[in-house]
Amino acid sequence: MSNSFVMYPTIDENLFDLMGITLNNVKFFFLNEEGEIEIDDIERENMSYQIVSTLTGYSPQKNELIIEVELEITDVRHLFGEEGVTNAFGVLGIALHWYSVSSSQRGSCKIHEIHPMDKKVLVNYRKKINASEFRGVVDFNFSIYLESMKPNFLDEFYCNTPGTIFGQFLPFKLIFDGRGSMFPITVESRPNAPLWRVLMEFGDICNETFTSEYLQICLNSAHPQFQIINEGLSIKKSPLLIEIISSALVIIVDEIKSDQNDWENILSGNYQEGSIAAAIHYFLTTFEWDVSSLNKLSYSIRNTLNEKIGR
Amino acid sequence: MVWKELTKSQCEEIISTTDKLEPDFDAEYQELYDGLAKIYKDIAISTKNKYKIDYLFGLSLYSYLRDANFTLRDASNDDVWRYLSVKVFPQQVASRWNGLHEDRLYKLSRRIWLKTLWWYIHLSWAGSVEETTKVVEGNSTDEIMQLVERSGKGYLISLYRQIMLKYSLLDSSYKKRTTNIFRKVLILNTAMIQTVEPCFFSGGLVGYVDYLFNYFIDGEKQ
Repeated sequence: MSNSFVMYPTIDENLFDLMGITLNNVKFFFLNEEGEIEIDDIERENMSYQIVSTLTGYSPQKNELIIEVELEITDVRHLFGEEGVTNAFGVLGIALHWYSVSSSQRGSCKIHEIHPMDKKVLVNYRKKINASEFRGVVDFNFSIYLESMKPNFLDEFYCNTPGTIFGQFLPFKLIFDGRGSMFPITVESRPNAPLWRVLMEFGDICNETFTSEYLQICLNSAHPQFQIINEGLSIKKSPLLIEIISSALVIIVDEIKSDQNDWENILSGNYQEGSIAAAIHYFLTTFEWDVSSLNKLSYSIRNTLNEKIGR
Repeated sequence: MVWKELTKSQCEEIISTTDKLEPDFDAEYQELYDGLAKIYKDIAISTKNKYKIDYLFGLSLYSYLRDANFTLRDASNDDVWRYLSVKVFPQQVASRWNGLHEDRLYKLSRRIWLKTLWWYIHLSWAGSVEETTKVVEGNSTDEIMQLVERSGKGYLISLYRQIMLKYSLLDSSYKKRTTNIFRKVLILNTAMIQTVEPCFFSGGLVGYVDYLFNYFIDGEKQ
């Protein structure tokens, strides 16, 4: 997402709707000695795909992963000319982008070209991900960018810098490890200590990321009850883990709320993307948590998790 | 090799019990330790220059880890670096950073020393140890910090390698501290990459990097 102010036409919501862009399909395959195998053991929540079990034999460390996407644009003619982003001599490109904070990497690749005489576009693209390349969460999205154009003295307002991105859309996430993107959870061994604790090491929630570096639920593998959570360690399968996460979220929200400045920044949207403040704002607005008292907060958090995950 | 992990809180507990950390690692790490501890010792005898220690040890660390099948997945896992720092090479960290330095050992993700060395070399990699040495030898600890601490949404590795290569080939008059061209190029990139994808620019990545440098060099010529 860019906060910059640009002097050339870009793809706004109206143009996006006019074009009719859809992501028809996202499929996953991996390679082993027998060839290519489709991974159908995927948990999908909105546009977040988690490769859950290893029943199919897929291992992020050992196997290449192939992501197959099918993108469709009903009418690309809207991109050219007066209401569009380039003139009749422009050539546009469709790109797939990926970003992964947890893997410290990002990249892009071109998946299609759009010419002024095109009408409908259907792209079927396969992206290969090497074994042991990514960990955690990888965010993907698509963009339409300028491949080339011939400026005409009549329409100098069009952008003529190749590589300029006119709009990004259809984001989706792939989760390689961990127990979903809801919360940073780690495991440690502490004999004679309780089953879990919350570590809060944040100081600047508007900039610090919502990752285990700054806050985490630590589960204690030395606790006798750890086995109840540990079977698969998938949130869906463990009511105990849902309760732990709920309680931890109450502690964290309460801690953050105690700082008036921080709370105001959250409510007014004054924070960096991906920050702790951004995550809390998302939870508050999307799930409408009731923060008027600890009891109500605890209840509304448990209600959310129960609805989203518990059934 | 399966790389062992230590969490931040585990590191804190270990450090709370002692003022001086000694190596204390699993048997699988013995070969790695023997090789690199000796290399560090030789480097530390040959020079007192902090940057030289950093890039020379960094190149060796990178090579040894590559030979032990260390992957990108491992390199982006802070807990793997914490184990390497606190359990395997604490003495080398202490020698480089004048004693027990928590941020450089485990506390600050972007400052764990061994991690910064590995990523500095990886983001400067020019195909071989020899070629990469040529790319990095003329720099300073400032370049390590500027390059590695800007991870943002993830490093565009091929771009940074091109930037490091171009920077190493620049006339030394442009590299004097006062002009600060490295920092300026990285900041310009941070701004441009919001709206332009480097690999689709005219001339691709090479063209994009030339543009970034020329933005400042042409201006200074006047």
